[in-house]
Amino acid sequence: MTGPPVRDRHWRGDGDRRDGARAQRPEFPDGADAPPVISRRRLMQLLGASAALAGSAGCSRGPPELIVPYVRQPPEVTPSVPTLYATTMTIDGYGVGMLVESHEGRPTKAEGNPHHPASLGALGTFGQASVLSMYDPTRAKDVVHDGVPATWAAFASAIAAPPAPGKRTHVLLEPTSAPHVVALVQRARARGDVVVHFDSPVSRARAWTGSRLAFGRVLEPRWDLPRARVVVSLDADFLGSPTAPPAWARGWVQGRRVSSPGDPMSRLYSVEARLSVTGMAADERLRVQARQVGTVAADLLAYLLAHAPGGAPATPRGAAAGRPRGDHAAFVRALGRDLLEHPGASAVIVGDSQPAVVHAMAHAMNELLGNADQTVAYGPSPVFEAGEDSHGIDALVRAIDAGEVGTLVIVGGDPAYTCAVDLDLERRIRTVATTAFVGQHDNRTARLCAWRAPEAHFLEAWSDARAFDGTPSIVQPLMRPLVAGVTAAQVLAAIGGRIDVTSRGLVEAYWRAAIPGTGFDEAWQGALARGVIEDRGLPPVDTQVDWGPVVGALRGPPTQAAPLEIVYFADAKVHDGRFAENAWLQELADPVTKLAWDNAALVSPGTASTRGVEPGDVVELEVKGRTLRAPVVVVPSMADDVVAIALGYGQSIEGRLSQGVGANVYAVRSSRAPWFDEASARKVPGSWPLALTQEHWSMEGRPIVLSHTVEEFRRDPGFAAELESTPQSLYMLKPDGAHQWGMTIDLNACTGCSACVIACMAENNVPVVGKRGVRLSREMHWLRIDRYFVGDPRDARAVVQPMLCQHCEKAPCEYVCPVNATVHSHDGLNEMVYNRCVGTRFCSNNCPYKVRRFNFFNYNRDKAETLQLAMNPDVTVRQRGVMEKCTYCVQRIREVEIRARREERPIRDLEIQTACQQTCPTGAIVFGDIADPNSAVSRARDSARLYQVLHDLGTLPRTRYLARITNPNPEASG
Amino acid sequence: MTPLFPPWSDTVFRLCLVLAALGVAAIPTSMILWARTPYVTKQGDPVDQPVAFDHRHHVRDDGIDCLYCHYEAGRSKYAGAPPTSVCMNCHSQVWQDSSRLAPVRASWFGDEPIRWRRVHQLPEFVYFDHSAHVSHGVGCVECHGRVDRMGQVHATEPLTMKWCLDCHRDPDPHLRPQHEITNMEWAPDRPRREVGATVHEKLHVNPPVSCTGCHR
Repeated sequence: MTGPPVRDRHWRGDGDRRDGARAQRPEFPDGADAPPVISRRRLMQLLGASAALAGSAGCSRGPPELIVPYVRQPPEVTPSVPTLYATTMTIDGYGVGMLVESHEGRPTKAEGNPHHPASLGALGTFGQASVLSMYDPTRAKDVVHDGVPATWAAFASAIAAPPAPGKRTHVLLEPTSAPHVVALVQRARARGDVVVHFDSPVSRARAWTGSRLAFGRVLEPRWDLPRARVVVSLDADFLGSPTAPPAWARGWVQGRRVSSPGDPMSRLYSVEARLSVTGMAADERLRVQARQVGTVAADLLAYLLAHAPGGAPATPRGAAAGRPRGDHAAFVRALGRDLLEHPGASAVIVGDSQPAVVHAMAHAMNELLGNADQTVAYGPSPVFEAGEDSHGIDALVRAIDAGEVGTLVIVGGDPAYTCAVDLDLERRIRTVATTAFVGQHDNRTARLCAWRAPEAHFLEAWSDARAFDGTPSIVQPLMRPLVAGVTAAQVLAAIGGRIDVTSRGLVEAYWRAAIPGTGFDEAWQGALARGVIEDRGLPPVDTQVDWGPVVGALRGPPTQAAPLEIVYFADAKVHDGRFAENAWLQELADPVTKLAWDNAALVSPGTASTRGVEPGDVVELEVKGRTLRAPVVVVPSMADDVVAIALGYGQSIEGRLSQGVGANVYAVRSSRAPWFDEASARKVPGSWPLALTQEHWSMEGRPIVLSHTVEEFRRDPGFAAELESTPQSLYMLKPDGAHQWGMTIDLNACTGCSACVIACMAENNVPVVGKRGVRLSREMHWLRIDRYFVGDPRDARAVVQPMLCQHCEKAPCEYVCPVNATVHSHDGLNEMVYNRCVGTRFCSNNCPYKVRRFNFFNYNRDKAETLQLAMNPDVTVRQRGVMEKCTYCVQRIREVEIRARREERPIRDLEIQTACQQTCPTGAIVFGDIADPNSAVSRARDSARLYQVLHDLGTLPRTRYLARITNPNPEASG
Repeated sequence: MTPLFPPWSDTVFRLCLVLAALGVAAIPTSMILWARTPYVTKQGDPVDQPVAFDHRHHVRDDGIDCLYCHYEAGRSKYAGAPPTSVCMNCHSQVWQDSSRLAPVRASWFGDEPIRWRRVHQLPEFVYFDHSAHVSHGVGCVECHGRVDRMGQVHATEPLTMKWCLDCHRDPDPHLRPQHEITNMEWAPDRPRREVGATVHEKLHVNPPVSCTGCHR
């Protein structure tokens, strides 16, 4: 092996590093398994009583269960056989196709739709968690007027009433790509006194303006990354952002599949302030303040202009004079050379938070490098009126101030909470005569508005949407609505005077007009079945960069670093705050910080030490005179003098899941600096307990995750082989089943996005334990994603590793169970038998991978009725006192086995997909039969990168990993 | 000094010790045995149903095949009680006025499901699959007994895990040709085990004996 031994280079979290890799950190925090304070006498009483009750319960026979058949069974329903329906989830206006599993009319699980261009079969965390949002028992249910129950008809006539003379009806929608909503917006505007605005706190306005600068009109890049050899991310999280199409990550990973030393490998550069998922995946990173990303982009463009072969477009050569400058010169020069060496095979991607001119420069670079039509195509935005004046809340604010707003109708979102603080929308809304809100929750905006109506969740109403490339698809409901909600389209129709229209009627009417002739019914059925409407996308267009504004930008002086910069970003879990009531997402550990149930002020180790703060301290951040208190979390590899903090927390609505969770960043975010701003920070007394999962189960510096550079791999292709061994044993009994199940996880493909974690929760009825539970290490995730760092903490490289039950052939848990509750199956699964388990937790103590989870409480008791509907009926709901862990989705294995045998055919390769495998955007997880040498998993196991975690324990895990290979540029690191 | 206890108290004390020792073993044993008594497994215990449905009449007199009503058995986990529409297939024509069929008509016209009471009740953590059995040579009668002779249906088998596993480990004595699955009166012309072995081979019967075969 080359380089320093792996064990010396890996540690996890900042705490581990400071304590030294071998610090004796207990597995569980103090008190994690301590019983509540209880007297001995009381304990004996309870013991005696429970024994007596258990005995008496065992003697009774209980009432017989009921069988309640249908009166008329729908022909498509076979009880116990789930049906899949194609529908579409919309995030920030962009559609992602999905297939939703319905058990006798109740959706339980979402998967990606392989036919949909944004999904290609994968689904991100938001899509996976969307089912739970529909069952949320705290959703708004009733139409209310001034606190008194009202009817939809009254609501509709109130918003349809013509405003007072000289005033207009203003409608505030979220950005939309839905074709039928667009038609209704146009129709509503035709009334003459209706103004429609679109606003989102995570608007892409800067990207749209940038494209207008470069191309003269609003176009969006559509990446085709399999061909890209060099990918540059300028503050763009195209791999990790749950709003980026999973298809892009899937494309990028094609260039990373290195199975033998000769294989080519793409390279990913990342320039950013915070550490994003894309940054964790990057081969080379440059840490700069967000405001300086533009300077790096300008330097890079200048370098490319100066060195482009065949001459640059008609630009003054002088623009490149004196570039690149400053600390990042070596990085920029190396990156520039790398880009020029791969003409037509690179991609420069810019994040939405960067100013318009940076986007324009990136478009120019992509043209200069010949990437247009190779790795990127430009097409119109699917979002209606993207980049036009109707987007943004400024116009609405001006109209309210001018007294022009007679009626204000807000549909979706929570603008009173998310709006820039300097616009003070809350006060302005109060001045409007008639206010109405349609939303899924009684949030801050709802409480300001006189009229409130519930909004339908997309799984219970009809709509449509366009994907990033314009491909339209239908949103079809999965069940009869739990809440009598309305859609944005119904609201617009009501403003137009049509009250009694259904969401389906509106969608169908639009498409009936759009697809003329006799073919409608067939096309409609086809669109519903397939989940996309073919040939009606927005085709890409030819582009020509206007170099004027771009070169103008090059002339500017470099942006100086701020003393302290605050960076806002859309959260990986709650996004802009819209998923704050989703327990699955709240409980998820952030992919980068491993923080659950909170947001935090993220700072680099350098910034933390210069400012004297520790993780868990509370800091007061001051931005333009407004202050915010937040806990500190130290993240290696962030840029210094930066505080990054996620949007969407601190909603402070009583009695809700999100109550008391995190700090409200919108309280300081201004409209002029929506993504980064100057700030000052000071430590304030107090502490903020954090549910960080990263410091649990420290692996004590053993070679758990292997990471090598491609150079090292080429020099020593067998580096992983030494961690891949079959120990000598006298006990050579092997499982004898015809199929032997196994899994490989490619650490080169895994980005840590965590979609698999949510998929596992949804599939396997994994309970949520809450912030306190997570703090006591009681989280129940069967699949977690460990995140390690390699190298110097200031500029460490992050590696991630999904960790789940390894299904050891010689499983340590099985030897120690006194009641045989965990045993081995004939097909090589490590089985957990809940009804045998008595909860000794010996197995968990003996598990070297720490993947077993114990039900300390009856987490499923007292579940709201609607949440019970979300449970997967094919998986046992576990009780208090039993151990549980990953089963390789055994219910899916057995179901396919039974189906195949009923149809008298062999099981096809990849026919059984585990939930984590199915949703993975990059296809990092492969599951199948290792007894079949031709199966996908067997082929993956042929890789030179294959290794076992903790191989020296002789556990012979069935889950094997493919070591991570990075492709750093030695010149860039200087 | 007179002894505090009479001499026989030693015997009583020893007897108590023996009884206590026996009790430690006897209490769990008796609980385990108790769970297997027909009283608890409800064998032979007819269950009152909301409709006085008589299998004897429908199967023997009318010759209706099991799968006519329990048509899901071949493709679903549940054989289930049939939807009311299946009853009405015939009873919209015959016995339309019968008072015994009033609940069926009420269900049909009131769009209210009939609430049948379950006779064969498996614990929640058992994922039994009818289709896997019905398609692999396990006749209805093997688990449900002679339903064609029952007025009110009752369980004939204990449905304990041992009972399941006995067959899963050695299925041959319980298998029959696929076309005789619903035949309640089928009798093999050769020794049963031989017939079963042929079926076993032909249908690739491979019953799971791992825990997750039934518990997930």
